[in-house]
Amino acid sequence: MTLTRRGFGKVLLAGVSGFAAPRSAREAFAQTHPPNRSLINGVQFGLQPFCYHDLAMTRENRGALIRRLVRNGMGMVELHATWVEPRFNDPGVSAAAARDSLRAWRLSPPAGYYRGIRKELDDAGIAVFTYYVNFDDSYTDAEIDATFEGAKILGARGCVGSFGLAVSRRLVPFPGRHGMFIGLHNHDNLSDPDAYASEASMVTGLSMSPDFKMMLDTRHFTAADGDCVGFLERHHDRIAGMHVGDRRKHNGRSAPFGEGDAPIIELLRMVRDNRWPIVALLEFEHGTLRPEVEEVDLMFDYCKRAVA
Amino acid sequence: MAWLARLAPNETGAGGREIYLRECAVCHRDDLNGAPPEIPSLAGVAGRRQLGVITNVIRQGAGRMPSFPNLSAEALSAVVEYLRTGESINAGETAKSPLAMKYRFTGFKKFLDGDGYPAITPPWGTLNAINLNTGEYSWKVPLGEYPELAANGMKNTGSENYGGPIVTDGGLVFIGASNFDRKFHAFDSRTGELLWETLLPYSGNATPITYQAGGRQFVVIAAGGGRNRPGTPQISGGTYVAFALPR
Repeated sequence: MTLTRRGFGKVLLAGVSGFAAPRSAREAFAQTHPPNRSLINGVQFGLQPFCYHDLAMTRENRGALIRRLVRNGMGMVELHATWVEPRFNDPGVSAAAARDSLRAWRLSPPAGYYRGIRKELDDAGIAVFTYYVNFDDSYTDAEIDATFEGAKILGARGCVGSFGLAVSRRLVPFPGRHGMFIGLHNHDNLSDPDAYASEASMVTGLSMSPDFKMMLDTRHFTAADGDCVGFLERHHDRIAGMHVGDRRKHNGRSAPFGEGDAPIIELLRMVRDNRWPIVALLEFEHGTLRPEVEEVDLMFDYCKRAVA
Repeated sequence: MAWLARLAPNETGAGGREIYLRECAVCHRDDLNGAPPEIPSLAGVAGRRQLGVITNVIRQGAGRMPSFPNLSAEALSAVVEYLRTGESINAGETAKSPLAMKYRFTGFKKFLDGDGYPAITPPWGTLNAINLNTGEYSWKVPLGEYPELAANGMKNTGSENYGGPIVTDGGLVFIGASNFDRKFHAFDSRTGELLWETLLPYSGNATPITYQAGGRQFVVIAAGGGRNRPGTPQISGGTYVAFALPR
């Protein structure tokens, strides 16, 4: 087993006390898995590939995605379902017919389909942290179960999506069946009573199920004038991960890391210093004069310096 | 870009669907699916927007969408109800417009293949120079690329592009325009040879300007983006980017 500096410390402690049982899921994971390439000073980083603005999120581009992730030094990813699933919206096919075809495919995917993709990712040293799928009323119960099953085979520990409170209520029974979590993803629309945008709305969502966790989006929460640091202090035990990015307050524009109002450095140091098992997924939507891969490098460097 | 266009007999009824077809379907299409990302889908819009917001957008317009002050309150309600429930309630005589044409355009539809690329042979977008003395083309070059195709060796395909050029005394043509590669280009005005290109933060769907200040010449373009391909992140912004010509 290869040990990280922090992992080494834990083993020493266990040896001194004579009690080797892991104290947390994070330690148990660390004792059975090699370090991920984007585990930096105890903070697990990853990427939401939305950052590759020029790359259509299709299964045909998955090879290019994996090459870019490796090039950017990323070992963990939040994988949108469109990187995995086929499209059925061919010319002449109605939206309803395409939706029906996608549902049928999800209920009976080709044998070994998800395992094949898992191998692609494993071979590249990339772990899927979460599977991004926008559940809505068009999903049947069987389809939701099938989506969780597919995500689980990919290695995902939860499913995340941009749904609101109403859809969340319906999703309550599902993640527990699969030993996974639902990640609630906040946006910035404070005027929509169904949306996750305010702290109160997120607390309401989290109260629905112990299997619900936050995927706290620092960009959107900052734009919605939320208190990211306070939220992390108060709810860190219900946060699975963060979409780490920067924006200006008061529904302001997206910005390169450090040029907006999101307290990225403070958040990452809180995760590092408290050893919270919160995954930091980089995600940005600011425009850049550089190619996307170079911009990911720059933003990742900013985060690495924050936890150095 | 090749487009599919069709005319259909105009609707003269006063029901919510008839009003929608008459006033809205030219952009959002008969089936409500629009042509994302330029024209958003209205399918299930009531689940994404509050009814008051929908009403205000129709009444006041939003972005490139014009306002519809010609719609009476009853007609507006009927359209919103149709968007919300699919039911076509009757808005009464006040919904009928004296300006209604006999035929209506059924909406913008790109002629695309199953992968979302133009279903015609490239080039899929060109920059053209026409000799005004003869009326003949002086040169024609592809403008724009699809980054994922270019990465696989399929370069200079041309692409959908929106934005005008400027021509300088020195024989340079500056143009952004290309939707997907967010590049800003300089061509030789006599030959069409690409002399220089660089990335913009968002695609430059605008016409650049040039000016002199302090004895130096600048070229500026507004980069706003927002016309990305379906399936790619729909980012947009609003940035002016200035370039200074070498001293």
